[in-house]
Amino acid sequence: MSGEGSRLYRLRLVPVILRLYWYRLRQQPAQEALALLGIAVGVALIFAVEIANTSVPASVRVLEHGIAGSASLEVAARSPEGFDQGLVSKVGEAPGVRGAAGILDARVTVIGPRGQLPLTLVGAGPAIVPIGGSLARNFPWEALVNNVPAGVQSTGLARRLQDAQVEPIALPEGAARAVGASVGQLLSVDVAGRSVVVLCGAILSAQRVGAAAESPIAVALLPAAQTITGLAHHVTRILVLPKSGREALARRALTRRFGATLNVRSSSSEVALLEDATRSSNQVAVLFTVLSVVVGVLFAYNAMLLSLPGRRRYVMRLRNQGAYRHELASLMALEVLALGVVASLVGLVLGDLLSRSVFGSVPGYLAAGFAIGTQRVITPVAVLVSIGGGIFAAAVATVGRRWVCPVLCVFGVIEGLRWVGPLKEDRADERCNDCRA
Amino acid sequence: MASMLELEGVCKSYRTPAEVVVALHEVSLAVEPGEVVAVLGPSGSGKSTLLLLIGAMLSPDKGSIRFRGSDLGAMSEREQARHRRRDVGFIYQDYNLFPGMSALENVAFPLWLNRIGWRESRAQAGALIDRVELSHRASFLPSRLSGGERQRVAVARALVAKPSLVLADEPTGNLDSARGEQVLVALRELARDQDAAVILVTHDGRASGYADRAYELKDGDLHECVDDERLATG
Repeated sequence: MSGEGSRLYRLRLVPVILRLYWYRLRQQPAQEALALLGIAVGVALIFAVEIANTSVPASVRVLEHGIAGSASLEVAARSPEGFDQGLVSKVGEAPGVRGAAGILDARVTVIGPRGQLPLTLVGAGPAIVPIGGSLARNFPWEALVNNVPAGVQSTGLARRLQDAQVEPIALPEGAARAVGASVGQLLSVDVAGRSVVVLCGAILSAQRVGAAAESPIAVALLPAAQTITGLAHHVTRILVLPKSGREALARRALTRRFGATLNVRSSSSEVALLEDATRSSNQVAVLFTVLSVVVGVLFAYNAMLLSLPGRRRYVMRLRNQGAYRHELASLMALEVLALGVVASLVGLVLGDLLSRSVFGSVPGYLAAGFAIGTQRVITPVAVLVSIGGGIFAAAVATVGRRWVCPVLCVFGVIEGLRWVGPLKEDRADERCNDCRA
Repeated sequence: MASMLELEGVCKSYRTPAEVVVALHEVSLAVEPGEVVAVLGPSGSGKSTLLLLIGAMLSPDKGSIRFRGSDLGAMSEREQARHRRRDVGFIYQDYNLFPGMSALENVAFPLWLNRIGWRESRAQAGALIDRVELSHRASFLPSRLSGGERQRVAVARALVAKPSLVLADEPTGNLDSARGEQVLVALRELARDQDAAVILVTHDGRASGYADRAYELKDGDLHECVDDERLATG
């Protein structure tokens, strides 16, 4: 046996504490499982709400950033009909502007063999690549340049497609899955009261375009989009890449020149608009998150109360056997960490399922105005908040009794750290009514 | 020369909502190494309180308790814990076994709390489990042991770390007379072999026959029994 001050003695505390924790788990596994479940439910609620709360604006942000990239300004039409695309070159020549690319956005409904889906048709061209984001850069433009997909070249279908002048579009794999589209398939697009037959020229996979693969968009070359929508030579917005350090100058120049009839604004204004629109629901979500934390703590606390008499006797026995305060503190810290972390991980899994099954739908009033995707955006903050909440609940439930009853109760659960308990266990209940489990 | 354990004018009372109960009143006692002392008295006479005070689990209201010259009341919390850990083996009336540990693990516990390796702890504990004739129940949880078997596990746990002071609260309370005598003989042998002091409190008069001295605790007052009284109670 090494001396108490030695390093070896201190190191040997670890297996002792682990073993003590294992014995405590073995003492009352059902109560521990209930405590774990209680915390996990609370964490699941927090996590699901966080995902739902962040996914809506984040999905729009992912899409907008994927298209606009470093183009921080845009000149946008004030009506769905847009404006003449001849303005693109004039915008590109404005002071402080490094590059400009026209885009035609239109709300359409794509109809495939498995169903129909409202989407935003985005018409753009390779001109967007130098100034656009990852979606623009990774987009398979070559698949849309020729309206005959690679798989059907030199066939009868290829000839008919060329003769019929059917325009190709690209669908993200989420949308393609929803309408049952595959490459080379003819689809119907309803736009502004008329129906147009188009060709599914490409499917955008997650490997190629990332999270945008779940965005509710359809992409076509600008001339094709103009043909489909019947808005020949029109665009609805022009993405503007200002010269380095000249954004203010470019904005002033564009506003002076086009501000009377068009909107000159930040390219992320759609996201800002959506965040404004969802502010009230965000406040509800924050309230719900707080309620979830409270529910989680209450669940955990009540479950821990079930195990309290056993826990108290365990601590008392350890004290009576001569366990030091730091050994008991280490045991409790391990208990908080183990319970909090394991329950949080279970809660994250439950929360993920909950977010898919219950909180997955997008409110109709938002879906009508914004291209909100079905992708679930899980931020590190959501994970950290959820795990933190779980550990907090475990800590409150494990050592928080002194906070609940600080004056009357001399012996909280942390009583074990102070308590040189009486020999007879029944005297443990002579303390205060609030501490009796 | 000072005794191993000295109690001087020790008073202890409990306050209840209705009254103040005097458990011990001006109790003085000295115990030497290798000595077995029996404290007799009916239930509620303050016997267990006396052991709690000697084990530094309670503090006296008045008076002093010295173990090898050190005043337990003046010790820090850590020193008191070390006193319980290193010097004292406690046999509890209600066993105080850990429900999540097997009989063997309960006996080994004081050793690995002192950072003795798990294997060595189990080997030493196994030897004591053999000695109390519980080898066939070594892996059983306390909930699967009879009262007498739990009592024997508690005795083995109290002795495993070779303490210099054994405090036994009704050590034969749940044993038949044959087993009870075995435990008393074992405690007496321990006192001789290890030069340890044994204080056993009981209402069983037979125990006084195995003690070097016997006391009676009545209404908080401790009186030494003369031989005639010991014979009468024994």
